[in-house]
Amino acid sequence: MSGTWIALLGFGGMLVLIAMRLHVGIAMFVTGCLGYVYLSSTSALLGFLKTNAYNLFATYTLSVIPLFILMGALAEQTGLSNALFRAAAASIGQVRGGLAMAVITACTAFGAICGSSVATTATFGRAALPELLRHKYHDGFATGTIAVGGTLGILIPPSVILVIYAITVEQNIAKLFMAAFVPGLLATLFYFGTIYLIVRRRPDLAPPGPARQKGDRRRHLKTVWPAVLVAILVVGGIYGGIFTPTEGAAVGTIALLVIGLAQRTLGWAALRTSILNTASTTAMIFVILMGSEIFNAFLALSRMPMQAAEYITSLGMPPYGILAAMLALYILLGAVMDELAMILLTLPVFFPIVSALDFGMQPDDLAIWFGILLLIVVGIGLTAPPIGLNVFVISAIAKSVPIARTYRGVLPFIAADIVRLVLVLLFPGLALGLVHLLT
Amino acid sequence: MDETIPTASPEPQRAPSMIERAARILAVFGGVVALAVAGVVVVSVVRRWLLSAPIPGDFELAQVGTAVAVFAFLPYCQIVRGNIVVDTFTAHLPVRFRHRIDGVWDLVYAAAMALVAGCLARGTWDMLASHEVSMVLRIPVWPGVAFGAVTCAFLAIVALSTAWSLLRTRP
Repeated sequence: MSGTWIALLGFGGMLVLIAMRLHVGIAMFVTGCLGYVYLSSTSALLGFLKTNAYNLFATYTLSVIPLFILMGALAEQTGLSNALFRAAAASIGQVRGGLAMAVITACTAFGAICGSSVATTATFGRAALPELLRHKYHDGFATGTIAVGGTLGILIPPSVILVIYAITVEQNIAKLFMAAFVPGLLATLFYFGTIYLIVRRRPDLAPPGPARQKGDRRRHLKTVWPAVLVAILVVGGIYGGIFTPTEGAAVGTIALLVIGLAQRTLGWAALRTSILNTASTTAMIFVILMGSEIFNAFLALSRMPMQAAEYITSLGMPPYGILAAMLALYILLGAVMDELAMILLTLPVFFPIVSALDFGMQPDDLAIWFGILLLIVVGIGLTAPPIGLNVFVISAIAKSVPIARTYRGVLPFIAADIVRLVLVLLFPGLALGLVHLLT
Repeated sequence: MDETIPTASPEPQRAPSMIERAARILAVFGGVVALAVAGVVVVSVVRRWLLSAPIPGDFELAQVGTAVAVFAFLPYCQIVRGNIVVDTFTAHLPVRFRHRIDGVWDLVYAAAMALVAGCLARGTWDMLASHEVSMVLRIPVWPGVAFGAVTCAFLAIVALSTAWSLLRTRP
């Protein structure tokens, strides 16, 4: 059998295993090992595994992942997410739909500290949802808004998924963070617009919130300054080239630790919870990375990605057509698949194809632009039915709200996301402008 | 694809076993190592600013520390079933049947991690024999790899124990 067929067989087998409830990472690991042995030899596999896991875990650029996750966990445990939401609610909560906009505002700020959408959704599910429901917000609108707001955790840099993309395609993480900035803020604006349009059509969904009280602003400023300071320090430091993303994550983590200890908002129990949450999320990501490492080694042996790229480019279709088809496929895949696994599985095949297309831009720019397009698509996949991880997270917190109602609440925002995707597709400058300006 | 949500443990509430406690302690140890990595990096950044003299080889310490932390996190993730599992096609099956499937997959996970542990053990041996050291600080590489081998072996044991608790339940 030729390598391409073996690779396709491997893909199929792996998907069947995943559908039968095997862990995503282990499914990649098992099929990758079998394919590797078939195309090479058992002794070659054993040699590969001798140091692979250690070398992977000891990759300097990957050390940013546990640190960013720890930073987000500390921010939640020290009550910063609560403070952000309360401050945002106090300043814009009194208008119709204002509390939903406050969720988006707080998620945006929190997204600059936290690199994970699941963590952001879970955090605001606990911090904001009870408030929204107390003020008689429609439950599906409230959970939908929080599920969408959670995606800002990855849309606003730092972003774990962008780190993984950057490492996979050998791009500069800091540049990808810069490129994500404007599209991320656009997401915030678009979500604001969506909320505005929704409550104009259906005022019953979102009654006005509590009136602002005198002195509120100063009181809240006192509670949110650590979050703002850390966000500016980390994101600004990385953008300004003052430190590498790993250093930024370390600075943010230590800053939150020190602030938490000094303000007595972080005790031993909270620190222990932060660490255990970090442990489980980090390990989940690294098990998938370990599996994808061996699966990709198998794919490389099969030479299938190269042949697929050659085949697609030989068809002579217009580059934008291929790219649009690819993004549409990603939206479909993202609706039924875990986003991290989707990226790690498809990039070895898709990235060579994209690199071979001619958009009249530098290879680095193309890689960065494609990464941002992918990030938007991943954000859609995190909330889109039937399988949106963020929706599952919020459903686990709000057990009384039927999941179908949350999905209905999410739909208008997905429309806004697709508009944003098309905008960034038509105007690459939205992503690349800041990169060129800062470097 | 569905995933287990990290905050919700599907395991029934009961007294934690020795293995669970060990995995938890190991994870907290990993978290402390991660915090130490952050501390070293911050000190290095500050020294670079003030004295333009960063800690030499700080990135090597970050590498070793991250590897140790991540290895230490792995068993805990299995205890709380934090790994991503697809529930789309099997959600309608009876719970007991799903537990059987998960139990069998835990055995597969245990076998895979035993393989990794064995390979890492051989890697440790090779590095001991060749006296491999890091580039700047010239610290030996083998202890990190050995730690990986030990934690992966422990992870295999954890997966065996979760498989056992899923499979032994009789109707």
